Amino acid sequence: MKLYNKKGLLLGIFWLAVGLGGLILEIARPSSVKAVFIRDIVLFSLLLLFSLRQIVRAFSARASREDFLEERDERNRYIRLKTGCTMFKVAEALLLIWVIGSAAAFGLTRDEIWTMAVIVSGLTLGLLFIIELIVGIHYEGKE
Amino acid sequence: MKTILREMRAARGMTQQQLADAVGVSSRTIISIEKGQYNPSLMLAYRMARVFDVSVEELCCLEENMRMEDER
Repeated sequence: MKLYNKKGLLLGIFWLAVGLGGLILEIARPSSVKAVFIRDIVLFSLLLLFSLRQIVRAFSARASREDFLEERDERNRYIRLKTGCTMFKVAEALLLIWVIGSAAAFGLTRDEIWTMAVIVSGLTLGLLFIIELIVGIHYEGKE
Repeated sequence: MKTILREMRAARGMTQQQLADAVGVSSRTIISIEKGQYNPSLMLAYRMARVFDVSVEELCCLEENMRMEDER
């Protein structure tokens, strides 16, 4: 058997370990809530199947070529970039709404818990802005 | 962006998959370009132009697209 996709194999092994580990842990120490137990079993089983499929594909020349093409495809890369960018913007907007909402809730209720919410989400938002700034400077110099 | 990719491909009797294989992208990318939903990179446009033995300018209707962009 010849290996055609080393990265795919390594990823497959990683997800196989995660899936197997999760499944074993869930069976050894089942969640007290039945719905959570079933959800975890289903999710880890799906992960296991996905990882096995990826491992098998790594040994197939045709499947590896398809995977390689899919990964390199410029439209796929563009979509991944756009998805990541939109996801980041939505997360930033939601966080901003949460900060404002928490501040308003604190103003109305004077409950200390809202102060903590404002501090934690405000710090996260600040961190996101700093990351955005650093990444922007990085690409400004590179592109 | 408007292109004459579909016409060129049909004239050569090529399928979308065959063209995709020839230029090293997925068939979905070819479909999107033909629908005018995705603008190919310069290198991909050049690869496709080479397959059909035409210029990038001709394949991608650059003159017409520029005029349309200027009018907007």
